Amino acid sequence: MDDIRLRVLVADDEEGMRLGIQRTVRPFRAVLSDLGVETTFETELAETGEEAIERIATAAPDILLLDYKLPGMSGLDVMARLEADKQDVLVIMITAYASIETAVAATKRGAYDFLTKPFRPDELQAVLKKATHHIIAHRRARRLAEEKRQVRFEFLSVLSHELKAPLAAVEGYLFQLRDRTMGDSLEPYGPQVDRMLIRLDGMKKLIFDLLDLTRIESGQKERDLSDVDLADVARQALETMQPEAGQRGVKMDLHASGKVLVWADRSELEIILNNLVSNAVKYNHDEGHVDVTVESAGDHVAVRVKDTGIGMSPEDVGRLFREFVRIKNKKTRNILGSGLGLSIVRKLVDLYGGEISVESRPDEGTSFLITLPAACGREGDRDHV
Amino acid sequence: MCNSKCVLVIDDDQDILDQARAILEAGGHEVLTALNGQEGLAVLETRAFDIILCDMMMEDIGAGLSVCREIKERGLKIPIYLVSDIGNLSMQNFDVRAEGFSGVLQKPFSANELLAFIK
Repeated sequence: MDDIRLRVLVADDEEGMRLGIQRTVRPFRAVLSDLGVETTFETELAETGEEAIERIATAAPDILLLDYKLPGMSGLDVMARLEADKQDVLVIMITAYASIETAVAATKRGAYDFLTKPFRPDELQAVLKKATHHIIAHRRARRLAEEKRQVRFEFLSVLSHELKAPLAAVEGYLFQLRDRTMGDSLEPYGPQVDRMLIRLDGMKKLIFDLLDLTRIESGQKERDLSDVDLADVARQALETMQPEAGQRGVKMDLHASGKVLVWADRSELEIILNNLVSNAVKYNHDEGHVDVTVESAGDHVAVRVKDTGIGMSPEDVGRLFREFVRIKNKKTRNILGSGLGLSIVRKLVDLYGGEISVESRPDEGTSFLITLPAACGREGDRDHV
Repeated sequence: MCNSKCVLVIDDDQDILDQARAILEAGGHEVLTALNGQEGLAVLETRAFDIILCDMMMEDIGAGLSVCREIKERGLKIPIYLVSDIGNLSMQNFDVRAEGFSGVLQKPFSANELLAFIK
């Protein structure tokens, strides 16, 4: 449990009331088990509304226990002033007579709760506990919302950077073409044109990946679940990568005995396998190997994609599944990617209640292992759960 | 060439590095490149440079800033220019000179723009 200490200001013109409240509040511990918090209170006392305002201006308390009927500034005046000063203090109004009019007026001004004089210590403590719960829950919600905004801002900053980078590269090459920096013959510009096409391709891939990611996260994608042969999906992924692998002499092998059935959306499994196999080829050495093993293991299926490539440091492995993380160093400088592939893979694996793990050694290679429940979400299977 | 300068370009985009190198070398300058801030700082220890061009968002969002601060901390007097685009800077309320950069080179750049900048 977290210990939290809140400050309570008591504004009442009767000394007996002030001291009585203080005696009740000081030893009180509000245990909020649902929030995992234990709260204690320190008290300050003010005789008049003016004094309360002054104290709040110097150091705002968390809770104000405010007498409705004060000499000079009334309780309502104090609340109006707090509102004008944009002071965020939770107010509990203490009234001598519980009239509807007082309640309405105070609520309009934003009082959180009421205590009717005379009250027992346990009544005061109950009101205080409720107020404390409200304050802490509210603060947590606000912090969470701020964190979300921050995450979103960072995501958009990085996304706009990733979208602008290929544009800047292409524009740079086009400037050279326009200005004929290498002469009027088109020939020397050939490699630049190739680079432009590659960068535009990368940009297209980023946009597709982004759409995939958004669809998965929003749950908007219609899922077409059926018995899918994971070995067949893997075979197809290898075929897709064959041209690039062949060019670089990377040898790919599939190890699977018969069908390996999993209850899934085929297109989602394709995204997983295509990403892993494509990484295994891209981050491989020329003449390297990629081994894909697909097998059933009880009520799970497992797929391992192992390469003999450039591998990663433990720090890189730790960052691997985050959005837009691309491992950039001398060895990867010519490898293009959206930086979203593995983040998508992990989200999909999570969706199936599966697991993904990585083993990697620099210059030796990387091995991804994914296990998925064979029948996650299958109707007939619910009876067995 | 008497105006020849030694330039260090730090950017995580290989194409931008290739372009800068092609343009600057054709203009008679000497060019070394680095793909991230750490690499750039390592290259800085190997020899003297007349000017540094540095990208902002590399291994992390403010990598260029870290490079700039480290250079100042090492007491190096080499002018370091931020290579970036206006959109990103205004979004982050970023004051280039207050952060220690000598100025900004807009990305993308043409050969003339880059060569004029280096002069």
